[in-house]
Amino acid sequence: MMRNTLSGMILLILCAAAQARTADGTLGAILTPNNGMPAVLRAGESFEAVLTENLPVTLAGGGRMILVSEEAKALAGGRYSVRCVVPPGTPAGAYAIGAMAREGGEADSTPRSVFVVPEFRDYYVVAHLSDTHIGKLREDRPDPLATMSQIIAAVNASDASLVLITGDLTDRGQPEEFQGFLRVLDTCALPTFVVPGNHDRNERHYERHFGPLYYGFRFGPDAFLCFDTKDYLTADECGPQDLALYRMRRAQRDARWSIGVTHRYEAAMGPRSQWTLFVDDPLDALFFGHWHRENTEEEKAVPWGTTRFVVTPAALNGEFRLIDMASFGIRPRPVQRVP
Amino acid sequence: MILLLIQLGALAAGPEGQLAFLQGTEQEDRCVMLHDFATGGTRRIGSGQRDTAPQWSPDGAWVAYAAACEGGMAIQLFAPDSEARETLPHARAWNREPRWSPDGRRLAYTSDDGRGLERELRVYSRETGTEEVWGGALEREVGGFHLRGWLQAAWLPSAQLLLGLDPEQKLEVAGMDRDALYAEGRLNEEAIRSRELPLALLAIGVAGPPGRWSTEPFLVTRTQAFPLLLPIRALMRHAGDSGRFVEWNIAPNAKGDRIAFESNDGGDREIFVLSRTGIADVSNHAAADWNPTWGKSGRMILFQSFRHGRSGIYEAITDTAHVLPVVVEENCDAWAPAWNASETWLAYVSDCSGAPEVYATRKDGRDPVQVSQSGSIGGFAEAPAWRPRQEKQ
Repeated sequence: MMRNTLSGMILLILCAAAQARTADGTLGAILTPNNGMPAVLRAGESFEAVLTENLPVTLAGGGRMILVSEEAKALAGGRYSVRCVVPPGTPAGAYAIGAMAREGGEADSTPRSVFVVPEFRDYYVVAHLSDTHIGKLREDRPDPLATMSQIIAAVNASDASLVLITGDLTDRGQPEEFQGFLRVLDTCALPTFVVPGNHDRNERHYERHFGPLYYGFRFGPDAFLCFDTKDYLTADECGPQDLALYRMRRAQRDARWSIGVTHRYEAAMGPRSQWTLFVDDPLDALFFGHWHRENTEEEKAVPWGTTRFVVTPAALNGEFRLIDMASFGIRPRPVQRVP
Repeated sequence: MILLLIQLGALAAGPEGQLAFLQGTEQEDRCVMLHDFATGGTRRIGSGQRDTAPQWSPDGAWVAYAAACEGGMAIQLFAPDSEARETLPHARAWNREPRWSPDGRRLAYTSDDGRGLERELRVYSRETGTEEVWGGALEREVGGFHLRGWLQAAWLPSAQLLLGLDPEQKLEVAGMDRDALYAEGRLNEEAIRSRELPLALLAIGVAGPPGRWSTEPFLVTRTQAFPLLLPIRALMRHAGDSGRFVEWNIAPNAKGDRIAFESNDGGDREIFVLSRTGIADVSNHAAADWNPTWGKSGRMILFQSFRHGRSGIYEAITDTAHVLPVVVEENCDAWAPAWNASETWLAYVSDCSGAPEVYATRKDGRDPVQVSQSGSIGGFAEAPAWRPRQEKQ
């Protein structure tokens, strides 16, 4: 403990000038976790960080900096997986994840990337936003950034424990739009998980700002499987995402509820993943947006079976919803709207 | 001694012929590529507009694929030797999954206006230059199935299996004209004796009421559709199983006496084979098994399985359901197997280097050769397809 604190103080001094992400807001040495795909865990638990270099990993928050990295292993493609352990007794709160620079290099730090929670409860609330469309010009409403700020403030004041933002984060997938989105995102007090929408998939700007297009995470007893569907418009062949979705779905089988989180759903998209997610091992629910409206009575579930829809209208129009997650079920509350 | 040297030389030689595959950095720029093992060179032969998996004509003269065009997708043809290109004329905007008939005179594909799974089956005749709808109208009842659309056509190579299942040609299902089915499809003994190829497709039909969609393999002719597994399931007293499961990837062997397909019948996705003796699960494992690909003997099937945690390539002996590993890696995935014509070399996709790349390896796994270099452009490669040997004139 003493050694960690001393190391932490040294790191604090050395890293005092560290930038959040890189100067242009893209991810630096630390790819995951990040503020669009954070790790949420209890003190004493571990998480995996993926880096572009084998560097020591720190957490910074609440006036302290802690060295958390333990063993690292090389991954294919020149990346590194680093096992990180949050020390027992670490206070609950949001932490920036940081990577110490090599001699002569810059340190990397991403805010709100690790959330230490005191406990996971059987009952909790999810805030679901979608289609913020940062960068879109509107005459009838305030700037999308201002609308998103209002929604985040409302979410901060709510009883939600985490936030899902299902795509079309930006209007044109431009770097300055992602940077604006990040500025508002970081006003959120809760863990925020994002997925890309069709508007975000411009060159590789989404990946440069948030990393993987698909990932899974656990929150208490439940499992969330986050994935992109843009590539399924024409891609019928089996690809890496299909393989990864199968493995992730299998790994989540023991969860109380398994939730799909994506931008859009169409029955014709990506048959291989449709079978994996909605037929062979059906998800309990699919949270998505894209339609800029709620789902109707006729649009309750996937046509293949039991996976039910929760569709949230566009945050661009000031709308979001809270969803109760409990052992008795998944209960979407009525859509709310900020002025 | 000379003979020994020749044999040793043959063993030491690498793969021969040409291999087509897809390469891109994202879906928008996927392009059909052609690698020539003789020269070691790879060139672009597709349009680079969301090209889909290359499909060689049986004589190896043409490669077909779908590519994005204004408002949808069209089937493209390219002849590597003459550089000739054709775009098929389509009545509807979105056309996908081209499949050559065994005689190379026709192409089957799905066709729609981009509204979902209400896809027609269309067949294009290279002789007349026209396409026509097959399978009759959608949104009708056939054999108790409410037919909504079609996916994944495959040409039926022979009528052997059908006549084996129905030797007296007494098939009877509601919504189907049996006589028309057999006549249109050339599915009778007379056609077999005169060595006429069938004019029939196997296709995956999307069927069922809202909230209970399923898929079912069908035999399809110009105006008729027949749910292929229904009579077998009825014989096995599992008629109620039809419509409960999602079948996929229907694949006849070259002789047409066995048909492989995927199904989640049994709880997880397995490879099944329909033959005259019934339906058998030939992969049989708690992990998912996908994408059956027949060997030329018509008795062995390559498929993809997660039985060791990651996706690996396995081979099933269909007579015994014995399964053997072919390409299995510990920490990465292998998929999309394709034998060359002599089954001495296997092409496949692996992401062990960090990006999906196409490889070729000997049948026993020796001498792997990396064919694509998509990692160098930050991209991916997939869907390898060997060019059939062209007969010399």
